[in-house]
Amino acid sequence: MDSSHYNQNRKSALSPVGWLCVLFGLVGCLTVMNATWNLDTPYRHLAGQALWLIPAVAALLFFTKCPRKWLTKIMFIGGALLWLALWFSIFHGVQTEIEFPFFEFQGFNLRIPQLAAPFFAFSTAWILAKTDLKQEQKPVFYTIIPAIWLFAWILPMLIKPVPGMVFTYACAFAVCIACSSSRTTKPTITLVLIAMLFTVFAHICAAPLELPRQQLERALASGGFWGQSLGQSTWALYTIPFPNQCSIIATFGESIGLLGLASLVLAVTAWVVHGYKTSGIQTDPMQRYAIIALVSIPAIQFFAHLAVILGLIPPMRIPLPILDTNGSTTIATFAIVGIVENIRKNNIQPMS
Amino acid sequence: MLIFFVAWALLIVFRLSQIMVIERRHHLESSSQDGWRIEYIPAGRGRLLDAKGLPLAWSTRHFRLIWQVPRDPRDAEKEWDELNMRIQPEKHWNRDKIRLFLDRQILLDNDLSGNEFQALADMLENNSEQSFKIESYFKRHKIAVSKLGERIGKTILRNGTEHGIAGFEKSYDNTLRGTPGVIKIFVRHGGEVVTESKQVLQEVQPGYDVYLPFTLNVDR
Repeated sequence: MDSSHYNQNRKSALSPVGWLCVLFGLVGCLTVMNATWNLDTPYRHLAGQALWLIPAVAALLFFTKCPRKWLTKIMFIGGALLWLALWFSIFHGVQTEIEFPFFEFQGFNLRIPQLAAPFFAFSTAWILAKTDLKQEQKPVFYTIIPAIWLFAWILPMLIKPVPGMVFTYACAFAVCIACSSSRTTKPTITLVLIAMLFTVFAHICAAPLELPRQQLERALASGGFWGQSLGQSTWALYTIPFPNQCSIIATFGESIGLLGLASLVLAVTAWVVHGYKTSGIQTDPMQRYAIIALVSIPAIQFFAHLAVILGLIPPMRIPLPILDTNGSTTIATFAIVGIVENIRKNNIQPMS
Repeated sequence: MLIFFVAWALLIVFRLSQIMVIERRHHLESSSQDGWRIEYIPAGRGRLLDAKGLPLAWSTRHFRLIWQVPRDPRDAEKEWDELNMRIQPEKHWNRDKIRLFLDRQILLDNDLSGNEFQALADMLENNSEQSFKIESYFKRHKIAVSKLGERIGKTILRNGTEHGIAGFEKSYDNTLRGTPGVIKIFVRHGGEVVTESKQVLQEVQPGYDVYLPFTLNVDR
């Protein structure tokens, strides 16, 4: 990337990808309004979603503009604090049977596994970059370290099972390993990942979650190719239990149809392609791994969430980035976009 | 790995096309035919009581009325008139507006009173096409004592179940919160529910009451 392009980007507050992310955030408000218009307090839900956008856009701006020398430090300190917060939330968070303990403040819920995702991705990239360089000296030792790293992050989420986030973390890690240049790392890490995913699926099988599959399919079918238009997803609103929560994409799908949903899938795929292209031009291995891991997290969550709704994989409570009412995932996704844009703009300064 | 994501995206678009376009007619036809439906039954949350048994926080069950508006406008108007003879639906619904919602479901009343419920009883019994449906939900109330209110805490709704997130509501959440029920039931063509087919996937277990170790007067 030449310096003129870099200077041009510095003038605007956000890059085109950043603006698209904000647009996605506004679509998220539309999604929530579409799924709650029949309730007695629809504007409260809309206002809640819009309020989440404020810290999310702040995170996007902060991470996009953050000087490189500070970014690495912030990510490591933030990662350490959020890892501690994961443990803290197990003992002091709001305990429910259906999700990982979270912190609540004035009706807003902070979910640490979702918020920690970008920090996990960044620190994992650092570990992989470091161990890659030293693989030839002590292959066994430097192969085990990344596996321990992943296990340390996932352990709290195995104690209070949150299979969706374990799946996300493990898949993002697997994607990084698949892109790794080291050959010795792959077999061991693959075994660890298989064990991890086996644990997730064992948990799912032990406590199966029932999704109203037939109702979801009928709601989507009611949307057809063009959709029923916004506010008209009446099949979903009156037959799916809690249409504004885990089934929100089916409710939205009925309104915007196949055309709208396929456009969303295309947008996320374009984001992944953009990320992989950006990672390809990085000379620093840490930056390459960081972009791959960061880009993968929202993509995995989006595709896996849709796969669950469509009955392709078993339900495991994977959050839907930005479009869902889950504000923590929105903030994390905006932060991820900011970090990726920061690395893309400043790729002349190696991180490691 | 890029190929992996692209393949995943293509698979999702294919499956979406399958449901929303290729098999659309089948799904829409089957929606007016026999089929299984999964329903959740929210569990009632237990009460918070002081040492003498005075309720400090309690839940009340409310009912909402949902109407599947018939496809034929004349049938819709007939059912609307029949309903209006018994109860007064929410103000924003009127005879002209329901013409815009033919063959759709609408929320007529978010909080049916006991009298309205009674007035609807015979109509619901004779409602062979199951076009009217009543759903229940819970609201949490607490005693209006300002300082105590903070100590009692508050709850939030998660999938129809109330979860304590602050104060005593949080401390005793495991006891107060029940277990919601999950049922699977067969629905015939036209929405008729076959009650004999009901399968309980998870039993509903109401929450227990909790007596707090103080009386309201002492606390004041």
